[in-house]
Amino acid sequence: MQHSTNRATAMFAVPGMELSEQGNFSIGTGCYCLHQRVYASLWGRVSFQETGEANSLRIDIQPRTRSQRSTCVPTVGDEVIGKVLKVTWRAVVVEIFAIQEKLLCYTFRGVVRLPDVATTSSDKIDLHNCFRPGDIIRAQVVSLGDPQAYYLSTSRSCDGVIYAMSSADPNQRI
Amino acid sequence: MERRISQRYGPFFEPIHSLEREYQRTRPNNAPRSLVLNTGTVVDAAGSGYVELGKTKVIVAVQGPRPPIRIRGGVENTMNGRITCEVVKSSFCYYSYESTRMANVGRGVSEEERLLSTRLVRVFEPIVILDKYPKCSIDLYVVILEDDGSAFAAMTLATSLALADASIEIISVVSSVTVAISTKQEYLVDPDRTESECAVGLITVSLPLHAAQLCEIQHTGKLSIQVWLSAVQLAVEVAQTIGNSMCQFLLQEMEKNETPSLCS
Repeated sequence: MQHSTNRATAMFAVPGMELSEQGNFSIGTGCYCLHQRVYASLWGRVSFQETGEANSLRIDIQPRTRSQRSTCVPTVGDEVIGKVLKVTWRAVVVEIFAIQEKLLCYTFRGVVRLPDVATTSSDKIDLHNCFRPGDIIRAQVVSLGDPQAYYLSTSRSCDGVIYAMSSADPNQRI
Repeated sequence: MERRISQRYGPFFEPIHSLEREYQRTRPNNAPRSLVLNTGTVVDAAGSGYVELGKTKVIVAVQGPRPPIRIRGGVENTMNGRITCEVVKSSFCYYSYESTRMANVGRGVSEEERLLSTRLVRVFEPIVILDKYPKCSIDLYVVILEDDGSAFAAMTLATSLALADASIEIISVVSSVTVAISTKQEYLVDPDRTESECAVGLITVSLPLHAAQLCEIQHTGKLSIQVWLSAVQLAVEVAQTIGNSMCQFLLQEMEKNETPSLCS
């Protein structure tokens, strides 16, 4: 078992490698804590970041990537970008293809329900006036939803349609 | 047009004991065969691993985490992540006397392949941190190119390489080894085909390297408790050495990949 004090090998981690004792470290991505010790859970490069508090470092592991696309999974609070597949009176079905500007390997199914479209007077909104199939929208994940889809929300001011084609001229961008 | 051979060809008779008398093990009893490791063998997969244990050759490709493909007829209501596995033995691979007698389950999946895949899922369910992948499925595709004994140990090694390559969060790298107990009560580490067919008992141990735990012990044959205990102890020791060399390999691969980018 190698210890992180060795500088040459401390740069890289293998899943299960002991990184440090818990002490002044907080856990970032790719690490887990067991019996007051920090272990790596990914294969990649270890980086230490200062969190701003005194004597505290955050340990992160950047996974070794072969492709440009990342293998992360949407979690609650993530900002996602997706393409509208279907618009109904009650909900909009979205195909999520990016999380926080990072492209994904696989697309996930998401749903924006009518109450989550806007914060005010959601009962007066006609979803067909807001979204059309093919639009690219930005949204926030509010919950993991049902087994079929993630529940998304576009109620924040920065969310909504970010790219769409004109219905009059299919080549023109709105 | 040649007709497709649908029948698996294996030995038509049970192995005879004269086979054992002629056979001589060329290496020491506690030495495993030469090990070849590789990652990134399959281009399209999220991660892949290749392991050669002597003549046993196994390729594993990992897809995912991806949204589960819904199987028609049954809607699955699990919010947890899950692992699915598909094991395929190549058609030119060796089939033991027992495996040729096993019934085909249908759709080309034999009973033996299904058994191997459920075992592999059971080894890796506690190892993968499934809480981080809610609602997603991680798919393992295993191809056994050649089976010259200890195929399951090779499968476990290749799968943990592939999971590390796919950047899926796992508790630790998993190492595995098979120990055969011969009729002369010798412990043969990493037995090949003849040794494992003539053995009284076979024990396969899988363990996560950095935690003082065991994932799984598989045991066939009738053994006394003392023999069993010492065989498991031997297997754990050998598995730890194999796992350490696997870690060394992963670190070396990482350094090899990183060095050019630092220079430029």
